[in-house]
Amino acid sequence: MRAGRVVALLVVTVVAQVALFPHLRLAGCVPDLGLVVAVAVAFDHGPEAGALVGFLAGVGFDLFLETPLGLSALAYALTAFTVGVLQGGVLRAPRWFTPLIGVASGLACGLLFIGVGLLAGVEGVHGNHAFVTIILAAIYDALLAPFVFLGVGALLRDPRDRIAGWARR
Amino acid sequence: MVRGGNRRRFVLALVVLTSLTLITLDTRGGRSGPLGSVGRVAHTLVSPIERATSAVARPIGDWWSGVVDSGSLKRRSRALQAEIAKLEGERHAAEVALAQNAEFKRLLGLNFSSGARPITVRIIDRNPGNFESTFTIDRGQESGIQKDMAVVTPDGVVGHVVDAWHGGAKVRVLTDPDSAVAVRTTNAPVTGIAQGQAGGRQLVVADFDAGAKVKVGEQVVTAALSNSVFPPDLPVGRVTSVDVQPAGLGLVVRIAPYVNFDALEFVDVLRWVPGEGPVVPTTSSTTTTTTGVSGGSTSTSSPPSTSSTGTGH
Repeated sequence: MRAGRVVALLVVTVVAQVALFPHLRLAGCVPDLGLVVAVAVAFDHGPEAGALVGFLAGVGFDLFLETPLGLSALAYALTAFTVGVLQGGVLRAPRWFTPLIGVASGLACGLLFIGVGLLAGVEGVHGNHAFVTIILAAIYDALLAPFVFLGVGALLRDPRDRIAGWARR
Repeated sequence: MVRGGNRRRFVLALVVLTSLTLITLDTRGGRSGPLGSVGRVAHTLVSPIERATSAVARPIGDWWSGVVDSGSLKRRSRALQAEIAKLEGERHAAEVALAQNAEFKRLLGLNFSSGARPITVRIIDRNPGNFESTFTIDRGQESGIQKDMAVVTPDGVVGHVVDAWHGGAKVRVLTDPDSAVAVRTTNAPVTGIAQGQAGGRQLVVADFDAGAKVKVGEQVVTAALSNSVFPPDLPVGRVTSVDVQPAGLGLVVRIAPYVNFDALEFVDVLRWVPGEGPVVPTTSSTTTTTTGVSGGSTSTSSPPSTSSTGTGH
């Protein structure tokens, strides 16, 4: 992976999340673009890269939120790391697999966010409303996942990487 | 293999510990220190992009809703025409009452108005995350907007500024679960704190006295508590339900805000800093017990966009 491209990817991700997706809501919810990008990186380049990208994208998003700084970062990083570890067992993933990863990681990340948010005393994550929100956001993540996976794969492609070819298939 | 495993664990531990440290620092200290400065710099950088996407997205959104809802829009338009005619009549009566009210106040030497000159601003972005009710406005420190200033529309209170930077500011809406506003009822004044509810559109007051006579449909306005963020007597909403807490500990009152937060495009920021002024005299806390509904209308019926837009730049 090239550092310059990773930085560009992070900036575009955060700006799109903050300035674009609030205008493109699905049933009132915004997706976790940073999470999907981090999961895509974890899928292609392993759990460490995924965790770092997830952390940075999460911190970038957190700067614009009223929830505690670092909350999205933790949720994104842990989810992407887990996906990266689990991906080791999937050798040839079919194409329909990306939305599935999107929805599963969206749900896992949402639950982490709510769980840690409750411990940190965030009022907004109380009640059933929060669960409905994470389900809707996870569906949105699933819809974005195929495009994000292709984009991230093309941008961070490295010929020496054995998994990078996955995105080109 | 062992080295790879070690590196993996190291990265995981680093990321988790850094996140937890940030969460702790931010929860304890708020956004006042260096973390807050980083946030404001990020906001300043992204604000122009937010403004641009908003300028592009708004006409598209309006066009789309026009296509989808044209039938209901026509019905709505007819209903609104009828309502305008009715309100025009009421306005004439209200103008007379306002003039009389101003005259009486002058005679009595009272000063209800907060005297805060509003800055009219446009909303350029809302709820960046899924778990908060906030919006971003297109003016900030350069127009004199500061943290904790009240945000209103002619309908009533919208919320207050939680962060301001160069070129924008963030407003927390009344219905956000972290929002709390000191309110009082208008008929038999009792004071309480109205809080937002996660995912809800109403405010809840849980600390009215059990004996308080609060009626459904009653108007609720901001109360003049000494450290309140809001100037007193701004309209907040109407009582929709009154329940007695178990064991008669108090009343749980639900309030429907006057402002339709989803439909907002322009709002006014009142240049009124809590605890400092500009006008509200220290004796204003005694006005809590007097009935002063009209005081609210003097503060919020302040000149709409034309005169106040020019004040910022």
